[in-house]
Amino acid sequence: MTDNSAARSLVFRQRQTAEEILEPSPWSKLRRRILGNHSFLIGAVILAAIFAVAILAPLLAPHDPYDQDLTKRLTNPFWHEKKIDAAHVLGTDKVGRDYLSRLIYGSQISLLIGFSTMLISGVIGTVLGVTAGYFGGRVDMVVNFIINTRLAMPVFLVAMAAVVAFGASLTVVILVLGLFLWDRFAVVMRSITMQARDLDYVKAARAMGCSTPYIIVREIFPNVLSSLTVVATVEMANAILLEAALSFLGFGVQAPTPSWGLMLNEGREYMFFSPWLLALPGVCLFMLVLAINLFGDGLRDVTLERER
Amino acid sequence: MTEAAALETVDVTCVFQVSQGLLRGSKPLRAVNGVSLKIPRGRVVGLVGESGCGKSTMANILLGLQRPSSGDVLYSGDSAAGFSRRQIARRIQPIFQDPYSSLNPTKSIESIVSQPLRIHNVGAPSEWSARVGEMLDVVGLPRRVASSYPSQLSGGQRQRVAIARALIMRPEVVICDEPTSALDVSVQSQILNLLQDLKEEFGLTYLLISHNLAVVQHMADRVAVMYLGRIVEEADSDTLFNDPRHPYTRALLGSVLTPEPRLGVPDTHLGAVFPNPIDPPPGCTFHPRCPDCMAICRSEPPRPASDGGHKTECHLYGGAGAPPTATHRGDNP
Amino acid sequence: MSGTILEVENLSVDIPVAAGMLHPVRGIGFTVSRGETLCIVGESGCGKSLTSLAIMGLLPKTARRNADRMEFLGRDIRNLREREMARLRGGSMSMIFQEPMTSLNPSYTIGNQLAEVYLRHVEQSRAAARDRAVFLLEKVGISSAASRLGQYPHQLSGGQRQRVMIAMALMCGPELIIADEPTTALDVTIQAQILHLLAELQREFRMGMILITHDLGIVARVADKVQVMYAGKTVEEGPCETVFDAPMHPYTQGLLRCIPIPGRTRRGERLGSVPGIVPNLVGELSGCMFRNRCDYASDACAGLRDEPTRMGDGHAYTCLRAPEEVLGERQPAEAP
Repeated sequence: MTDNSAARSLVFRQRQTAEEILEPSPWSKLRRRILGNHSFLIGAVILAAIFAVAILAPLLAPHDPYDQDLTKRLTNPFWHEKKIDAAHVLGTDKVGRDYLSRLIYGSQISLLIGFSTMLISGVIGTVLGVTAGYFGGRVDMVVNFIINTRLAMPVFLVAMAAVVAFGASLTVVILVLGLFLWDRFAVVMRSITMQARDLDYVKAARAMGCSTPYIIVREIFPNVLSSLTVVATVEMANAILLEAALSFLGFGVQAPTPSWGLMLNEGREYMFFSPWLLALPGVCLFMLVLAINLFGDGLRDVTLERER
Repeated sequence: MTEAAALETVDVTCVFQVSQGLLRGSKPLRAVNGVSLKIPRGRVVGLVGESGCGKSTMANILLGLQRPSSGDVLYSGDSAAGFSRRQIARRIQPIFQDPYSSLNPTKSIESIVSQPLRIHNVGAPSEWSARVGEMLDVVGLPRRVASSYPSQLSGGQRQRVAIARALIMRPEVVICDEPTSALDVSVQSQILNLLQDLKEEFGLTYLLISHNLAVVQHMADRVAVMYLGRIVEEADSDTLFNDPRHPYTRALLGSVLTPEPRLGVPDTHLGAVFPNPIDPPPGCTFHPRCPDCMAICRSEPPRPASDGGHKTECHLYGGAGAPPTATHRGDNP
Repeated sequence: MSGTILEVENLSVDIPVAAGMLHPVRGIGFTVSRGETLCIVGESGCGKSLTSLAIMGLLPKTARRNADRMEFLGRDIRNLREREMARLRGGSMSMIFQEPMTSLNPSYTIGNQLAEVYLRHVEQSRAAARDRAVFLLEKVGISSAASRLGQYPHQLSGGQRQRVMIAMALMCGPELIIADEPTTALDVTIQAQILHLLAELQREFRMGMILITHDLGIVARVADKVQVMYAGKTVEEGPCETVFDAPMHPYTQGLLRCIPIPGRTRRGERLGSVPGIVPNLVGELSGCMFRNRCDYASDACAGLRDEPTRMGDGHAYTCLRAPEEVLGERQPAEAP
């Protein structure tokens, strides 16, 4: 009996002292990892800068990007001039519009396209992927069929056809890209949801009497969120590049809207005499896409570690 | 045997259609094949068997997560048909094996433990935090873990959180699915002690699903041994452990490795492998592995025989201990 | 008789982590002789698996290994090159892992995988390799072995896969087998069969075996020698019977009290437990690491040195409690 009472006191003491919590909270760990992740930080800083420029465009741009001044066509940027032209620091284009202002407003178009495309395709892809992954069976077969149908269609050709059919405008470009870039969302969400569905906490929620929508939204969704954001950054960069390519070919945003892709197209004619007309929007695009990708990569490293 | 059953299955069968490939159609897999099991109120019933024997499907059926193909589940004597999933959830809660996957990593402990209250709208939201605190006291966790996340806790602590979540609604029955097999030895005993304490404190009824017979023997009042979807032997714990009848039960008992030196590793003579449940052997499904296999075992399934509270399904004990005869027709529905 | 196969002295492993230096293994020593089974037992995080990886030279790249002595068949293996180490592994020293599903390559047949080990280490004809594979598959209890050679791992059950793993470990007639939790992923009945088989094969081929497990039941049944690890150190070691009959270290005693034993513990009786959790092994560590969980802890425990108390016949434990003290209290506790 002494043994037994000793054991009882042991349990009692174990309840008193309990076990201390050694691990820091996941949020403080996340913060530490973010601070240690250079690509994430660099990407975030550049991205934030471009964002600020886009939002503050009316304040930052020295001119209206649509204002033409045919007396000042194709002036040089500051590094080609002895005296800096304060009015047109980066020079003007072929119809005398201030290039800096057009570049600044161009960031709005790129980000607008990137975000709205990402949102549309993200919603479509996530709904399809999560539904297929959670319910499996026949639902999964149908969704897989839709995904395969979509993958069989070349985005670029379809986008060009749509522009020809509906006319070129910002809205058409966004809708076409949004309706076509969801495949990666769907594939990734499907497989992650499938894994999450079989975990015991989902079963526990079902045994608790939770409804299926509740389980999908409250139990599964928070756990696929980090993968979702990583896919979203990839798709956003993809959409921005596609818009630039479409605009460059004349199937995207139409003149005189200041889109970087369109500016590349317009600068093409002056490639040899005024190469900066090509180089400047090119560098802007490059920086934006690079920043998004760095940010996305960093985000993956930072968040996925949290889950394992 | 006259105790009221908190939970009872009546001839429950659960058939899954397993796809055999694109053109070959599907075959039925009888995960649970005519199981009648009674879990008396306030008792601990152990369910033992190898992986693939259907014990997890049984758990899902009892929790109302899986609808049986035929048969019925009775909650305190009333048919499952009269209960919604939420009503079942209030009566029966599970505890899972792996405390690492049973807690949602994105939620705080408080949110996890209070979740049942939220789902079932119990009490005012302002009381939830206090109820969580009480529950943490009960399972032996300091109250400050409420604000931490599962990844900060050890396996034993997580299992305590899972227990707190299961018990906060004061269910009648708790289905413990291998509650300790993922834990370290020293933590196992803590969880087992805790389960014992909670049983006394809340008057709980347990179904303890485990492959660890030492644990089952320690906890359970009654034990059912499952093999390929059927209960092949069921008896009170003492009877079963002192007088195992079915050759499979004897093999299972022989396989328990207790920390007693000089005994060596027993030879269980279970030669062949666990059969494919899609394609079960004819006759008694255990016959290919049975050391006492007779001619009749290869052709005819044995009928259940009962000797007091000791139920066995084996030709060796066909007809309540009488020698096996060839007249039985195994016509199980 | 110089039957010693492996001799390790003061082995330690250090792994740099974000918070500092992690010391998962802190001075482990043991010897394994021909035909002898050494069980290293401990809970998760005690360093038992890293010990085995350190011997095999399979530690993660960032880990640092130190040892005063590591001799395998009389040969110093501390500074062997990777290529020489690889020749040893799978040859005269082979390993059986916990998860038979992932340790076999799913895209090769059983026969191919068995033969490959043989051809790589023994360099004989394919026919010889095949014969050996069939012979060993039969030995490990796989029926119609010859026809199994063409099968893929997914066509086998978990128990059969583990048998194939054992056959593969035996292909080149190893002197030493290191089995890391070989039966943890298996059902109880299969576990008993596999352990039975391992014990039989070991006796037959007179191999040394290091079995790493958390399960004291397994240890009691198969070990000749036991080494109980806690927080990277050996807290108790000795012949199996002695350690189980008269455990001296509070940790060993605690672990043994945790386990229900049919026929010994009564139903529903409170089991013993070891409260608290394993300490963090990062940074400078000193004294007895068990002191924060120990019933007998006193201030002196912080100054415990690595000087085991020896009891004769190889039984030793590292604790400040004197043997008389431990043995003296056992009598009254067990009497009622």
